[in-house]
Amino acid sequence: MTLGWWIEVVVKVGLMFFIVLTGVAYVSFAERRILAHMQSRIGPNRVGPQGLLQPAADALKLMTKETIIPAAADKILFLFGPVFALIPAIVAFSVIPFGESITLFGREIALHVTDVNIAVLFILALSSIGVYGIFLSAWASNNKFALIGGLRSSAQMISYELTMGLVIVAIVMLAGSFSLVDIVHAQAKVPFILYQPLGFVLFIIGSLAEINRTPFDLPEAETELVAGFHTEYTGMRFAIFALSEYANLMTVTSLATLMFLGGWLVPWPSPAWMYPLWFAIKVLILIFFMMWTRGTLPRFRFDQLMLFGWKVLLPLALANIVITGLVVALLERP
Amino acid sequence: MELVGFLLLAGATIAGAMGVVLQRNALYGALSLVGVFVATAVLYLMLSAPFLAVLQLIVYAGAIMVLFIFVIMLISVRYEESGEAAGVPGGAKRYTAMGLAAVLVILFTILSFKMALTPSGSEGPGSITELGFALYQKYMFPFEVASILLLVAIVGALSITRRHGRGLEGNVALEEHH
Repeated sequence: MTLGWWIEVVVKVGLMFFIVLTGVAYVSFAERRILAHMQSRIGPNRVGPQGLLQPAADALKLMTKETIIPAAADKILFLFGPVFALIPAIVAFSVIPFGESITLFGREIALHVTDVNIAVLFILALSSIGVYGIFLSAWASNNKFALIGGLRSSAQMISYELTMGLVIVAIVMLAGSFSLVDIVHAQAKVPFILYQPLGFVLFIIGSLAEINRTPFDLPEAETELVAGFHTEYTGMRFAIFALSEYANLMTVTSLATLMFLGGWLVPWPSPAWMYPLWFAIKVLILIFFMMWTRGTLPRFRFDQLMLFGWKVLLPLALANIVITGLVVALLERP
Repeated sequence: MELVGFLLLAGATIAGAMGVVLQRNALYGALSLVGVFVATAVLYLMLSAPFLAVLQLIVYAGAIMVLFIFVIMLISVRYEESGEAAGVPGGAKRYTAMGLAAVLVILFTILSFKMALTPSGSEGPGSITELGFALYQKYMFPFEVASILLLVAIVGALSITRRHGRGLEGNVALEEHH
């Protein structure tokens, strides 16, 4: 652990925070504008050119708002709840690689904060911890709408996480590694979406549910639950939920890009410094797709959600594993 | 350094385990158990078994405890409505809650750092390859027996909860939606 190592780590962590936070700010802004267009509205366009300074204005506004703690709430858990939601969301991003290692100032620098060779599982573990943030806050609020939202989110996340995990198993069988860098390298010729079209669809559906987005936004269904698990939250703590939700959105779309769309690799020859750009473009396309579904689809009913998760997605994911396993085993044995 | 880390984590594990038993509030008890699981995961990491550590998090902290808390939240609604929750003095409750939350945050932080610093080759003891061979070749039989045991438990649980003479349609949860 030399000085150079420390500098590299600090710079990378700082950069990651910058990417996540600005990313979150502008993804949420983009979502507001894009949804507005889809619904024939204009959306926020007043602050700065085309409304580009809106996120900064929102952040300022939310920071100056009062934090209201309900009298009947469990104070400490109420205050800590959003923290539990935010930490896993940001930490998960630290294992996402953006491109090949580059050499800078005589040091080989990998384009991710830390190389965990079980990165895929690490992200899955963090996302399953992230649910604590939601339902601890929900429980601590001592509000029936919040509690129902929290219950829904835990049930939903357990059900759909299973599907995502099983899809990941198929990908790992194809790539022969849990490391995201290796998984991308295994797609040098053919991106896995062509081998795993069903897996891709299942993963996208599962991740929509995992990050509580429409059509799976039951935990905060505003037409029936006021605002679901964050009904009682105000000011910056309210913003933290939105922040972690968008951070999770970026993480799952990055994960989908790395596992199915070939990560930073493109079919045509490209210099190494372009890799992060290709990666970002693919991620943004997926993010746009998720906004599009939000603008298009209505919300599931809760029993439909459970039946769909356990009786449709789970068997399909299992079948996907069996078929993938058979094909891999047959191809490996000449 | 290693010994200090181990002692701290072992202390956290034992304190958490005691918390599970001693907490009056069921939710805090469950949270203490989450603390135990996270601390155990970090212990696995110290033994350079990252795969086991992550599985510990996914299975225990992520799935099983979520189900536990799910049930506790459902029950504690009635528990608080009946006004019995006031049995614990406010001050003590506040400090245990604060301590718990702080310990959990610290444990998550340690976990993330430790995860980043653990050299994780795909070979050697504690690696996925090693684990796979152990599970599917060396201990194949006990592994399969364990899975059948779990299957029997699932079927048993289902047959206990099912009402007599009625199929799935008689399920209470489903009935509410019809």
